Amino acid sequence: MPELSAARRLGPLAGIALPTRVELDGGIGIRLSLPPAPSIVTAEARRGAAVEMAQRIAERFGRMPQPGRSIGEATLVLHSAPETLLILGEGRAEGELVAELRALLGETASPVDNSHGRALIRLGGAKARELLSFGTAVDLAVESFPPGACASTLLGHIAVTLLLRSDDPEAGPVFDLVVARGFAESLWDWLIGRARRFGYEVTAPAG
Amino acid sequence: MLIHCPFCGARPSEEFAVLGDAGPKRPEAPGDDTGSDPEAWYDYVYLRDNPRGVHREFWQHVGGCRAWLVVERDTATHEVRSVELARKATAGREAS
Repeated sequence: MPELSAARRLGPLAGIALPTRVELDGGIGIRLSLPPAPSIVTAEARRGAAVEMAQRIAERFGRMPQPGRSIGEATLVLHSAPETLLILGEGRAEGELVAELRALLGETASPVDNSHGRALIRLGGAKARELLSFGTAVDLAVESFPPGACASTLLGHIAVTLLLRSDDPEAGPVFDLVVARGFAESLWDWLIGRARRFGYEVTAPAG
Repeated sequence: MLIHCPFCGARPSEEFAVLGDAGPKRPEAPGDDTGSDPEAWYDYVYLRDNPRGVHREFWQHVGGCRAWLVVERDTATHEVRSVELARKATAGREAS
């Protein structure tokens, strides 16, 4: 296989999400960052093929994630809607992830590369749950929304898919927000507007 | 009003879009051997029940998983009695 370099792509927040640190009482409660050029693929099972799609996902990733849950590490598979998956990858070459999924799923599902059509915002910090609760009614308490949980919801009236990547007792939770590209700037403004009351830091994308 | 989406769990009604009456059933198409009744078509295209009380309605979880649902609710009290995926609720319709 020829050596492929990771995709380099400017997301819709290039030039908008600039490194910033706004402290409140000498601290920050929110950390925002943009993973560089994530690969974002949606796959919906074809009619009557949901069971077979789930089997193929299980063969490759160990099991099919439960509704509202995700599985995987480098490549994350989110069961985000009935018979529908959202797959996230990082550091992949352009089109590599969707090609891999097409080969895996074959006739059972139709993977669509949304890497250019969606934006991924990473939201962390001790106050991340508090911030999100301003915009969504999803119960984010750790008992009902543990690490790996995902939910499609409205956040400040903007449709997003929420994913809890990790939840560290000291550093706080880390959420990924997947949003339609055209709404990314509005969502970013909304997030910054809420983040001001906690103090926040925006870190530059790596590379 | 909270709607318990079978996939997503309890969500506020703002996340949903309502289509209305889940009752209408598409009549036989014109030209079928069974014939088609213009009155049945008029009913199907234009007439909708709008009761005060228990009603079965189509809702779509457009701000979430995007699934179409059949919600049985009381239009006077907003009590939601049952929610199911529309694909399940209408399965077998065509066969019947």
